[in-house]
Amino acid sequence: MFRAILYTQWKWSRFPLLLGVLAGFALPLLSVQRVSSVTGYWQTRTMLASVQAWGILYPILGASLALLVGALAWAADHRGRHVYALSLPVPRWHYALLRFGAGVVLLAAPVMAVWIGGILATATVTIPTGLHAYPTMLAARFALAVFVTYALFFAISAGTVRMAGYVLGALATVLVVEVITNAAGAHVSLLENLLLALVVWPGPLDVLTGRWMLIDV
Amino acid sequence: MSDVRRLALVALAAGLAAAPAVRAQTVSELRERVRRLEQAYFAAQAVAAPADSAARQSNFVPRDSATAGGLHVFAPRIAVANAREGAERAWSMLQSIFGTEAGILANTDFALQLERPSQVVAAPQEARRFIAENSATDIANRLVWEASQILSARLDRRLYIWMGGAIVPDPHPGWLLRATYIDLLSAPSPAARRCYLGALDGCRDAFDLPPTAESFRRWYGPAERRLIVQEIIAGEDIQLVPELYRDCVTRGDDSACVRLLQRTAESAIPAPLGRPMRIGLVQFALEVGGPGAFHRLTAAAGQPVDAQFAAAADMPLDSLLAVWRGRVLAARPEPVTLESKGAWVALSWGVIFGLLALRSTRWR
Repeated sequence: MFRAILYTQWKWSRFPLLLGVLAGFALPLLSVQRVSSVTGYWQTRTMLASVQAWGILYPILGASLALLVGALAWAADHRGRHVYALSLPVPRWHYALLRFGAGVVLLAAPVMAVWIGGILATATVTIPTGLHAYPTMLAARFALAVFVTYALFFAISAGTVRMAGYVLGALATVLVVEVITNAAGAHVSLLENLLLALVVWPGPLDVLTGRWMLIDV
Repeated sequence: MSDVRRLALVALAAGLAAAPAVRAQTVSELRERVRRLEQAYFAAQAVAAPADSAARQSNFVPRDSATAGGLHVFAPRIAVANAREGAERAWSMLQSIFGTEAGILANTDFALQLERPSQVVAAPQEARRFIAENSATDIANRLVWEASQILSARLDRRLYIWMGGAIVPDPHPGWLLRATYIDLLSAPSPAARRCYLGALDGCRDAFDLPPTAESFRRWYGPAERRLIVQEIIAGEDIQLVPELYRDCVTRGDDSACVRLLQRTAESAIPAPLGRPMRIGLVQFALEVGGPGAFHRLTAAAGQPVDAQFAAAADMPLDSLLAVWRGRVLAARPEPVTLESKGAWVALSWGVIFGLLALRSTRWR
């Protein structure tokens, strides 16, 4: 059954996945362009800044892929009102686990692309003395970022419309409370604190933040 | 419309009105025309002056002042609170670097001119004007910059030239230390490498201390000199002496490379530890030397540059370089790492979200 689900999910999400694989492979190669330029040897800091600037795209790519694959995993079920899933002789948790696992397997492809691209990119340039290449570490971090965001978007997609309404309602409440309290003169930063709770350790999205450096000290 | 344009227009109009049909003029007629033009000019000026004065008055605001330590800032009334806070921050930063010598700033008045809205504060004519936004942070930064120029002007000329700029206290000194670490680690200079590995003579060479005429000889070996010529020095310098360039780059003749570099402006040759790092070293010496360090530094003017460092830091130059090196190595930027606790937390979140998806209420 897993193979069948894997195949159907592959069919639904193959275009974004192929694009993701391509982008994942190209990103490390593009990020080291500055390293091989003639004056790169004398401008290490500029080169590192360039690598860091390109690095912003890794979490964006990972989160985008996770969002697409996570949403597409449930799209057909939502459209068919879950009739197909209900017709299967498996409990819901088993079915959801199969879908989740299929998405994880599919997302391994762009992770591998980042890893191979990173190894190739660092092998084709002369890295200034004292600096090091981190293709494996970068790929591992990319894998974790993809996994966490995929799980998050998968859970949101798997939820009911009512649940989505609750989440949106809670966010709207936070926003309204903040606007009202600020208008009353009390400076409350609920949204900021909420965002910080998400992206600062031990928040779930902490893995997306920080420096994504293919080459570093 | 500006004064000049208004006057020019009025004078032109008067001139045209006064001009008769084009024909030959006698000297007396010409004099008469000049006299009438002058009259028109003065009349226009008399009209323009009060108008400009009124316009200026609308942008002038009465002075009010914000004082923190030795800093006295004339500020527009709407910016006094921010000016006071900015001056306090600026004073604290200035004191941390210039110590007791920052007190001489009490002899200088500063006048804040707001960037938006464009307002000029009424202040003594000799006051040092600076433009800033109406925010404490911007005022503090601009004030620190202005005050630093005044204080750095007291430094020995040779030290100032060696640094290549004024000492401006940095609100984020950690950034400079990290940048220095990268330069020390990656500069293609044997001197910088020796410094990184712990040889203090390497640090002295990398900083060109004491300053020498052909510092590139201290920084780079024959291979690097050839690379500099090949990759950095280009354009007119080389076109004038193509045979030297050929000998240096193609034949690998180091004497040709040296002669080419001797013809090159010093600023065009990349220093392994450049201007920000040099200024950073002086700041570090002042920090190590304590509140009296800047005073000792200015008192040592005229002495060799390395002796000035020793005077400021109150320790021999090599000791200062050793402490500096330790500080730089400690500021090593964190490379891209995946700490085990971070990885476990991410995995745990992934599993939690996955479990939430399994336990969704959709089919219940």
